[in-house]
Amino acid sequence: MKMNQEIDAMRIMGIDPFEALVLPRFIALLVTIPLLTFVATLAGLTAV
Amino acid sequence: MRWAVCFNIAERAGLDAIPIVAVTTFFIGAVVGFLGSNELATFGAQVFAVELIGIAVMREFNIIITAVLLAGRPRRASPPKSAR
Repeated sequence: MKMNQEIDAMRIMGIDPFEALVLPRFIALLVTIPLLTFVATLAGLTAV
Repeated sequence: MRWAVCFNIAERAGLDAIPIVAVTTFFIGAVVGFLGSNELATFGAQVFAVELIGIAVMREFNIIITAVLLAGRPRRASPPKSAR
């Protein structure tokens, strides 16, 4: 959702948009998705 | 590295998604188990319904359901200031 040139403003302020927007989400989901998959496996196996 | 943002996103996207992921996978597993055991009963192989649902859930459904729900879940918690 690129609205109001916010990413351009970040780039002008000297903040790398990739490092500020993409990398945190990537790292957070890299940790979170295996744990969520474990929870989903337990929930699915209780349905037997 | 912005670790505060990392943990914020991990909590909002991951921790808050536990109930919906668990409920969705539970009911999909229940439906697959029900239909599978009904169909396997035709051959008298009802015992293998356990293996059917175990393999189906552990190999396919858990990661698919988790990924689809995480990719599609909207983040209503904090809209950007420009959207208010």
